[in-house]
Amino acid sequence: MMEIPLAMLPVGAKGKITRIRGGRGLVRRLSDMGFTRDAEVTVVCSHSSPNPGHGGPLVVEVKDSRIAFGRGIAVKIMVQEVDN
Amino acid sequence: MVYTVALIGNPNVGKSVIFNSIVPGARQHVGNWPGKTVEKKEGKCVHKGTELKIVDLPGTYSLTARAVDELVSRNYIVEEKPDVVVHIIDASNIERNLYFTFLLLELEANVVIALNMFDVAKEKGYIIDVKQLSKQLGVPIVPTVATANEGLDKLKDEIVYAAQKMCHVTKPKINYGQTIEDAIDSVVRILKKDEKLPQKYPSRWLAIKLLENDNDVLEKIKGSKYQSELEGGITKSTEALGDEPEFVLADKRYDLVSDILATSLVKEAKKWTITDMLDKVFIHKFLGIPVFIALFWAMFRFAYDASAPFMEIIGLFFESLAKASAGIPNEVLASFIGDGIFGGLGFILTFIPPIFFLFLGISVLEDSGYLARAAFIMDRIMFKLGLHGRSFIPMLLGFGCNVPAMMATRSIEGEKDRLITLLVNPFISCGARLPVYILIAGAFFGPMATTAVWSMYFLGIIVAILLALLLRKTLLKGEPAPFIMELPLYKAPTFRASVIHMWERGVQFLKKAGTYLLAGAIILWFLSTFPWGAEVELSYTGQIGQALAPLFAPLGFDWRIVASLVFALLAKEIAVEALGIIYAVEGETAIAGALVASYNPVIGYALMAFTLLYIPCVATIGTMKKESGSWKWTIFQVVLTLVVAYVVGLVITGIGTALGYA
Repeated sequence: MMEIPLAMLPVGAKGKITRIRGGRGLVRRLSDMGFTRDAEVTVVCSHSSPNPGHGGPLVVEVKDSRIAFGRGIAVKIMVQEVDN
Repeated sequence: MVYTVALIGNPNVGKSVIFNSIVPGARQHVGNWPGKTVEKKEGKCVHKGTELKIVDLPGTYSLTARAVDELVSRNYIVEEKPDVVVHIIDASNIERNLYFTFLLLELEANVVIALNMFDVAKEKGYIIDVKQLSKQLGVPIVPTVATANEGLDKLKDEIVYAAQKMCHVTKPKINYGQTIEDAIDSVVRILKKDEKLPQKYPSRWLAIKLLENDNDVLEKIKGSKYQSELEGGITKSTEALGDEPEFVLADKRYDLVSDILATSLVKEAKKWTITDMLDKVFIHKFLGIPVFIALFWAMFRFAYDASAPFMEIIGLFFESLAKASAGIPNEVLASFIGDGIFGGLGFILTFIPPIFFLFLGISVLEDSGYLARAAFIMDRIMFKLGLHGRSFIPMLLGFGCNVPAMMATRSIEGEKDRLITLLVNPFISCGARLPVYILIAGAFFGPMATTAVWSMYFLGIIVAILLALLLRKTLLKGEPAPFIMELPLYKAPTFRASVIHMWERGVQFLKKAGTYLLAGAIILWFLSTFPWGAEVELSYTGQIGQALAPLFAPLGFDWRIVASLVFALLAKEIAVEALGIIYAVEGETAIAGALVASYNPVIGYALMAFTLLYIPCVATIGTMKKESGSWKWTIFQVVLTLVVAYVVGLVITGIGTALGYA
């Protein structure tokens, strides 16, 4: 399966985290909130717009909690899409 | 013997609710958004003859040295060594919460777990084998539903047992697997050579934190004889692990959690929850913002309309009292009671109902879990201002009172982001300004009064936005810190909780009224009536007002307004109180009528805007100093608000005059 950034996962789709690209602080913070390798994430809602730049934040579900974050973070979390 | 008990856990798991329930008389503010408790709170309780000191720590996701609030919580446990640490877990989000338990166990804290929101977990279809879980973790666990007061007695029992070291479960040794354990052991061996460090801190914890490259702990080993040896050991162990140790460890902790949950948690098929349903609308890409605006409009409309009859009643009450006081034989006393107390303080009390109802509306938004959603839907707009969604929460809270709003900025990461949010917060129109708007808009704008009041809120928001942009482009350049925030589950705000919440804030307002609005009324009356027998214009108040009036002449403000604004520095409501007293002493009872007779609507509108924008009050100045930790920024804010208020006032007067409304 292909590895894609979480930001590209469509709403409602599920993915499995393969890795998080980013600084130590960010990776650490995300892992504290439940974003670890192999964790399953579901995109609940996305405010992304097609134009580049700040595409708007999204909400994902991970380990039973809903986390909102900016697209800047969503492009750093790499996932593999999982079939529902 | 008093035992110290710390309450800790992820944000928004019900720590404050538990604190309030077990500490008699405690009124820790409870809301449904992450980052609400920013300071530790202490309280005492006695359980079956044992005295307990309870400390409610700010909620955190981790115990690293990265964020201030996390360090506060960690230092408390590391340095103060409480007898018992109660880890409060959201049972409906047990996996992530148990990760935190491991952090506490690493700290070798005496942990008791409160498995809170047990009802929510059940509803979600989670069947948790509490006994099994307790055995595996080696920690006593009590299922609780804090909001319904369930399980709290049992929790207190367990706290006391744990404090007296009579725990009935034994702690198994945590095992992170051969490679990690070897790495930890090799660092521990070097640490053990030091005389002081292992005595002060658990060696295993120190070793783990050193491997995780924790700045605070790295600082602690500085000056140790074995510092270089330790550093060498850390490097070697890190190499042996192959990856950054902190990520290896985090993964391992989660692995352990899933192993444990494999035998103690059964998940039934996922049910469609209310949160899923509401989020379909509230955080919808296109519906989100219109729904938000509608909710806010409804809230203000409610505060304004629902309070009208109450205002009428309070007004009539004080009017009749003022009339009755005219019968007092002593002239000075009659003036003091009639003009000072009833004319001033009584007049301001008329405006309490809208403030109460506004607080009620904000409580409902806070308790329901909507606030975090509002932050999310506004993120895109906030980003354009160089901030992120999180900064929106303090802004919303500012509609109640700017002081707690400014304190809520603590959960914002990024010093510059936080400073910008602090600097523009006072422009958000708080409850205390509402009386001023209602008085003036009611006097000048008749059927358009609500619109005029409404426009003030917009003006405040627009000014805050423009200044945030300006600050981001000039003094506080930079990119906003990444936005990340948990959205809590929705909770139906109970009528009782919301009313209590409103009542408490309202009572704070009444206390303010009882103390310095009363003191203000007395001082104002004194300054406005003395020298005795002189016209108000020649009284001390008049002199102060007249001395400063020329400065404000371009805005059309006369000495009465200027004097009121000076006194309103104490608190914005005093502007109304001051006008009440000045006109009462002058012999005008109908203040609205007197205002219309003295000024034109343009001046009225400029006065509303000026009141909105200039220095909020002494309390916010103090808060700014405390939160920014800098007099420079505090003074900057005072000057900034004054300049902005003056300029906007001038613009309004200019446009109004040009359009012929003056």
